[in-house]
Amino acid sequence: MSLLSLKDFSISFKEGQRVLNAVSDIALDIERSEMVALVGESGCGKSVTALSLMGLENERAITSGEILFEGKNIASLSESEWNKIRGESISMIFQEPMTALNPLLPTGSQVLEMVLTHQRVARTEAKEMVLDMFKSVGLADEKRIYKSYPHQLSGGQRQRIMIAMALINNPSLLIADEPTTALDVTIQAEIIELIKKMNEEKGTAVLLISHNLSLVKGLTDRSYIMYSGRIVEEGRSDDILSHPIHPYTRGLIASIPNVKNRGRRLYSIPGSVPSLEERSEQGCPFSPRCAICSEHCFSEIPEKRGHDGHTYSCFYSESEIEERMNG
Amino acid sequence: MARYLKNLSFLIGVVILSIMFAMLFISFFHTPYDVTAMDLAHKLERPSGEHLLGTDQFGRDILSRVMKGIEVSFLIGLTAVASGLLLGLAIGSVSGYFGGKLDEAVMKVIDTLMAFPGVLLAMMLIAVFGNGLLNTMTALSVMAIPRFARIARSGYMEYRDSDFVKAERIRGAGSFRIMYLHILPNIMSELVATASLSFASAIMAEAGLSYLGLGMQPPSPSLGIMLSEAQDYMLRAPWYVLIPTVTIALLVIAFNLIGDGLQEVSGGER
Amino acid sequence: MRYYLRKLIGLLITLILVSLLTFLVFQVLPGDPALIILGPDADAYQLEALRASLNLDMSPLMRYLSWVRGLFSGDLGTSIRYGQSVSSLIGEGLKVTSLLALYSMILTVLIGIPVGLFLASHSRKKYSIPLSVLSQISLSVPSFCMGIFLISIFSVRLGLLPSVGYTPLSEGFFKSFKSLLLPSLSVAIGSSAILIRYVRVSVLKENGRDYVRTARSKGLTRFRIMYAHVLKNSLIPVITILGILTADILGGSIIIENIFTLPGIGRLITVSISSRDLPLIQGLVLYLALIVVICNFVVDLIYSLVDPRIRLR
Repeated sequence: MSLLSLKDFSISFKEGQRVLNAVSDIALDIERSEMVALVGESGCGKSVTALSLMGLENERAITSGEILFEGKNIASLSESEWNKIRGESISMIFQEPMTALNPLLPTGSQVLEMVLTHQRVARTEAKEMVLDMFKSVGLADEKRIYKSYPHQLSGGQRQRIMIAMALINNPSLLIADEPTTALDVTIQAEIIELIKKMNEEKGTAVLLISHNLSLVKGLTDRSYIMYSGRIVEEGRSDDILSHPIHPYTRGLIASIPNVKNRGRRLYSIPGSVPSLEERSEQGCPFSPRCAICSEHCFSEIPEKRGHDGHTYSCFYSESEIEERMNG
Repeated sequence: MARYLKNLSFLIGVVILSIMFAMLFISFFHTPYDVTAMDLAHKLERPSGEHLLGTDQFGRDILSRVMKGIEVSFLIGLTAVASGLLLGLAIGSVSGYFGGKLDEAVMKVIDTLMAFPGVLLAMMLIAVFGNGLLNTMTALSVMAIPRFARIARSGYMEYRDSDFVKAERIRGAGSFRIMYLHILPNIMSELVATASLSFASAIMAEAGLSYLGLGMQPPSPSLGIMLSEAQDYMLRAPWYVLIPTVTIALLVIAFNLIGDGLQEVSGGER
Repeated sequence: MRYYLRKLIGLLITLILVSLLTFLVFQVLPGDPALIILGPDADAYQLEALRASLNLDMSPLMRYLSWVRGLFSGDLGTSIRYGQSVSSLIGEGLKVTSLLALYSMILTVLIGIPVGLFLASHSRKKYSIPLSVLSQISLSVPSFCMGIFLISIFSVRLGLLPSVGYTPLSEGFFKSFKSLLLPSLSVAIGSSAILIRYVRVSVLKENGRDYVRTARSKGLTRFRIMYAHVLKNSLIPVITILGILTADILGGSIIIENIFTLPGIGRLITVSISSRDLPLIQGLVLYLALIVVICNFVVDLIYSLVDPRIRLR
């Protein structure tokens, strides 16, 4: 049994008379202690998916399908049932460490609150736990940091605090929504290292959400590539990176700077992600930007195909895609 | 205009105000009775066909007095707001547009003025110059200045470095031209909203001062004076107290609603 | 530390400006003040005596300095109407007015904050329309109209509370409180309506912030998020409003005292203006303005205590 699995999961918003689909019929599995990436450009529905895994989606959002967590469907829990899962079994870190912490409370007490909400321990004991946790996420001067207010700390330190807070109750799943996007490049690698280290040491499964495929490299076990609310390709991360099949994934990889394309003009996928209002509900979602699409692609949605856990959604087979892209 | 009328606050405010305006307009030409004509045989009468809102302790017609009272409120409100707006705009625009030491000094004085509760400022001036219509007007005008000065100043500070102002400057337009031909239209909606709210405060303050005997003097028909006279007859003639109270409240509500509506609509556009 | 020092200097400058302004206003008085006070029938001897007691023979600057010195030594001259020292009259009046203002402020906060919080957390249409009508009314009815209205209900109709007069604290808290309940309620209804608006907007704004999402992701209950996280943050802008309301409440008390015939500062002001008691007016205006300035200073201090970000600046 997977730790978490999404089945036919959809999220939509009602905008006047129209129903706009933010996420359509996605399937996603995370095993225990596994590190999984969900990759796509911004606006493709990653963050909404992540928030709905904690029951934090916008109040106007309409969800359908199943979220099986440890075998139990958590898609339609009440607020108090959710509160038992949030922070205890599933926790989350966010993109903006600058605003994710309460500016008026010392950071230590914000983490302390996380412990006291979910564990029956004495305050002094909980404080020790927080200080230990601060040390293990690489906050050296933990006693000073415990008393510091968010504005006195750097972005990297705040994100470490967020990680400490998220992991202090030993959740079985950590959702990291673009955890490094708002940080300096040098700090980014450190934070990613830390998440990896925590995953290995504590066995916490991680769902890493990113727009950056290069970040996923050598880090996550499996990846899901998302475009316009649908999963277009999934498989083992190294497999996808070395051997992408779907035209969108190919485009993403071609736009990563590396040794091979050094000095050349970097590839970028033509066009941009359509906004929720502009999305066409017919055909393959990528067809308007796809280099190899045919008329067929605009009218029907392709089925999932592939083998050995590496699947993709396209009307063309791997060799056909190869041929058409080079031809 | 249409989008303002869609705003519920604004609409209700305009409706109440129109009724008040109608009464004001009619009172210029005609009131049911002479406002000062006493008729001691018919004092403190209930509202009836004869006297629609009843009579006061001297048998004067309350409706006629309320109509004239509204006139006083409007007169004082209008002068206070107009002079407060003009002076406040003059001070705030220069202060905000040129900035620097001048601005600092001006704002310090404005802040100091704001340390005096509005009514107290008016009272202080009345203490010096004495009461009566003209002095009440002056006092309430001074009371209105700081608010306009602050709004104008922040507006001018916002726009003084904007692109269209820079473009005008390069074209060689003078400061005066830029300030009042180009920047002013941009902050006008905010000033108008403030004017409406200030109108409400001025009406309230006039009624308060006159109630205390520090503003208008009897027998002139100010709503505040009516109120203080009516207070003595609260048991015998409750409607007599109620009428000026409701009239003052309606006037204030109308201007507050219009001010709120204007702010909501122009705020929504940004 | 530098923050507090700067604030303190700002306070001193404002205090000097306030006293200067109060002084100057009474200098532009047209004609001879002594003549104005005593009227055209006064004899030369009386006029001379009053001129001397008003220090009219000094230069304006010296007069200002001696007035300010008097402010510190508690000697602001003698009231012409009452024949008592201005400071002792103000001292007596302040006892009543400060109590009235304090009760009004407490009532304002007690009504304004809970109702504002309630409206913010139940921002549905069902309640919002009648409540916004109610708040618009309480906002617009002047406090003295409210006072008369309350008297006619609670004193005249129901006979529950005294309509006029003041019972000092020395005769028991409850009795004294009862005599000030209607007046302070008259002031508080309007100012709490203002407070409600600000609290509601402020809480709604804070609810959309990222740290609230973090708090929810921690599995905290809505109640806990509200009082442990949102409340403190959303009250910061509200503190500013409380500062502004101090001036409003004091201004409101001036008029209200006259309706309920309370022997406070407001009553003194009205009497002193009607009787052209210049030394008393000058002293009263100065004291009231000083109180507002100091209250605003205290608000700034509270601000810096609540928000750690300010102290660093």
